Amino acid sequence: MLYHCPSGKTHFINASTAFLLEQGLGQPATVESAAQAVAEARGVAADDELRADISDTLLRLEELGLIERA
Amino acid sequence: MSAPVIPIARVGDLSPREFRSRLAGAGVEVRIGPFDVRVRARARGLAMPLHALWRDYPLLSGARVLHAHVEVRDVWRLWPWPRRKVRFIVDGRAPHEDMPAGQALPVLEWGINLVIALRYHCFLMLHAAVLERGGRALLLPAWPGHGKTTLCAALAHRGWRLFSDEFGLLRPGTRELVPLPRPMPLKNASIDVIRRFAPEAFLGPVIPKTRKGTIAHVRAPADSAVRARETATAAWLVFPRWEEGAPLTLEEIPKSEGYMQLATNAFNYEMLGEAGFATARDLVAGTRCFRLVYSDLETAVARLTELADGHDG
Repeated sequence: MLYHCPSGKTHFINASTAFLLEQGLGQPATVESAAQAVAEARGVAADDELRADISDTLLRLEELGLIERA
Repeated sequence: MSAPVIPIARVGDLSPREFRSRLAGAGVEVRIGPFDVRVRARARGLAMPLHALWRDYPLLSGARVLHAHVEVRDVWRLWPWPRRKVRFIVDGRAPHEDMPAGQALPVLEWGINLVIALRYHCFLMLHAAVLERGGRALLLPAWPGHGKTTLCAALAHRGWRLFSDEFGLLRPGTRELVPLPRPMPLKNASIDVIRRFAPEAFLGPVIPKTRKGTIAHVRAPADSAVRARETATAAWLVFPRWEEGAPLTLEEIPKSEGYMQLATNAFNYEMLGEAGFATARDLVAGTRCFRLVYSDLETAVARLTELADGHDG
């Protein structure tokens, strides 16, 4: 669960998204660096499929106002 | 030497005639859970049932600041044809349209619910029945029609202390639930179900054709009303659903699912902002969450009692 103070909304997120927010996006990041962080944590390669998943997730998080595009 | 015990006057200490006279005059000041309320009423058929259903509420005396001044009174409408209606008033204002004559009791009880739900954001208010056993509280959050009030009334007559059939009142930052024992409005078939299940239960008049169907209120057991200042810590979060013919199942569910259902069943979760989130989060973290499906009241009550008494396997 995630509470977004500026909007007052509660979001229910899956474990992968929680990891991405906590670990992969702790500081300004690119799709590539976020994919690398997730790949390292999972012990898998940062392939195109993973990058596409990360990209989709980031777009959704942006739509919800949870992250901002630099 | 111990301090003298001063008996608390209760509504039932007034004669029905005195109660009716006060209601129609300056009003009756009562403590309903954590709320001090003055009630006035000039509505046909209300005083006697209210005297019986509110029998164990403490009467207030002396000057004090009240949480609300509520009133129910019969009014006449002349257009399009002459007819009597019932008006609910809080602090001098009618918050909704007049209701059909003869429904003063549910109009008063729903009106008090409305006042609580809209005003008292010092609590996180969950849409849940709450009962206590062994010092720990059970919350039953549910959507209308899921059998919450029926199950609550049944438990309240089988060794559980009633906190509320409608409001789970939590002080933000705690897991302490505050009692608000009120008459429980049974609807339609549930009226006879509880009559059979708990013949000792006191029911008010059967009122047909309300906006929720036929209604009869069950009086809160005396022990619940007398101990209305005793809070309890939440221990179980059970989401009940009555399903005709369904076998009993009590299944533990992930806390994330419990949280989601709890938050969507709250009156003022979003209004409280981060404090509401933190309070609900801590509540769920400190409780076990279950989904209950039942059709037979007896076995559902027995299963929940086993859970509370530690025989839950």
